[in-house]
Amino acid sequence: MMQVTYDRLDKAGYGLWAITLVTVLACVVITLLSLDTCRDARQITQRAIQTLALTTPTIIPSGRALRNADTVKPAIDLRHSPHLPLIHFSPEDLVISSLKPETGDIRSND
Amino acid sequence: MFNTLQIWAFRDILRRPFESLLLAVTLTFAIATVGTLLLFPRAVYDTLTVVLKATPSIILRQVDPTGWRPLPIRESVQAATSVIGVVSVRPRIWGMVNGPDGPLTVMGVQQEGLPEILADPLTRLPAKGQAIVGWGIASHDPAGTLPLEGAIRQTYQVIHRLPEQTSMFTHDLVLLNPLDAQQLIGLPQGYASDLAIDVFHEDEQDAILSDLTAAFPWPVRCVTRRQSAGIYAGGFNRGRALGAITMIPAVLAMCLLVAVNTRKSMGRQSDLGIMKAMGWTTGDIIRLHLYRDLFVCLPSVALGSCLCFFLVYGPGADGLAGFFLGWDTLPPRLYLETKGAVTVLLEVAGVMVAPVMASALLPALKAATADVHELIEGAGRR
Repeated sequence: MMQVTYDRLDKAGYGLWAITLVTVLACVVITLLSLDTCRDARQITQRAIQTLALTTPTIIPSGRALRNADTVKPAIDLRHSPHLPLIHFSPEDLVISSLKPETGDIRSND
Repeated sequence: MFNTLQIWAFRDILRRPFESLLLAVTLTFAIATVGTLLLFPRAVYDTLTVVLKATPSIILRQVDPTGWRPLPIRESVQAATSVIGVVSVRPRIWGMVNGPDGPLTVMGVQQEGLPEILADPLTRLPAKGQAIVGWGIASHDPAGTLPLEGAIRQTYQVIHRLPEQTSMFTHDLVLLNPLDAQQLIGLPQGYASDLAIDVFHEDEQDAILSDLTAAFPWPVRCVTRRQSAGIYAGGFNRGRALGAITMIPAVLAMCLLVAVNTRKSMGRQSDLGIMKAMGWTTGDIIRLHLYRDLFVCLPSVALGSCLCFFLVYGPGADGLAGFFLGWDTLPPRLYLETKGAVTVLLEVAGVMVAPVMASALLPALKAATADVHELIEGAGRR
């Protein structure tokens, strides 16, 4: 009795069709998602920004460091601002003042 | 549609289906993971670059050695408008307060502010005790009230929500009556948080800064739109750098895959010997290997890229925003620019797929120069 043939070549043909279908479907989804459908949303956002004078994106929650990053200024710049009064400070003064008694005079051995 | 060699190549895949499936799944997820991590910060940055063009040209703040402090509105506006090149000056009242689910940004909305952005007929300016809230602020009270705590503790009636489309700039924003905002933030009457200044031309932003600084009798700090965009770009570039670090394990995984693939192909030298003995040319053998790997790599690249697009530009973006941007509550809806996305994905796919293809072709090329007898004998000895 003749056995039923099991032709893998036929099966391979179906497999190739399945691969093609999956690839084409994935490409269609990518194309659909690539279409710029958000232009209106960005325009509305820009109008809101202009009207309310907003500067900070709210994609980071309030209270996080990056949320209001433009408000943070390194202290070194403030110290070097010509508008600010100069703070007189020297290590020598620090040492001497630590030796001062409560009255503020320098203790003398004489 | 398919020629015999292509069908034969797929038949070869079916001889070891689990190996091929594992390779395909690994490639798919490697492309999806690395692509998402590289694409998401870039898409956010590109979108912000576009949207930030609408922000005021210069933000001016009064500073003292302790930092930023409120400025008197009348004197500040007078000083700023006296500078040639300044088109408009708008004092802003804003600050951070505690809401029911964490910190929120409060803004006092000026009288001419609202109707332009919300064409909804129900919309009206917030009166005393009323608030307009961003899309991401949930009201836990059925009566629609929002308790806020800053310099004072006060409950406001929510009268409207800002549109979801503006979520990237208004997600956790609370708009209040200017007087309410001043009281809540703790600003004295007649003082503002900072000034939003517009200049006539983009290039004037930097040129006008020295004049602006000199016009004020107290120390001020100006941040231009360009500087502000640079600060946010710097922040997101750090995110991108962190994302790029994930490339390292992905590349290591690819090296492992390539090594396994090469070893696997080298172990099949006897197959090549038999093919050559049956009359297959070197070109046929190379084409067969090329097809065999393309049938695994091509759907993997397509599916990996599709998954990546779904996560960044599709419904998955909300989840990514929650994960990467640190939202414990409802994350903002992101409307991202797709420009440049395909380039990023092609780069990722190229980096992932090229070594796999090379690892498959290399043994075939090596076998092309070998003797048939040696190939079959060599396999027999192994």
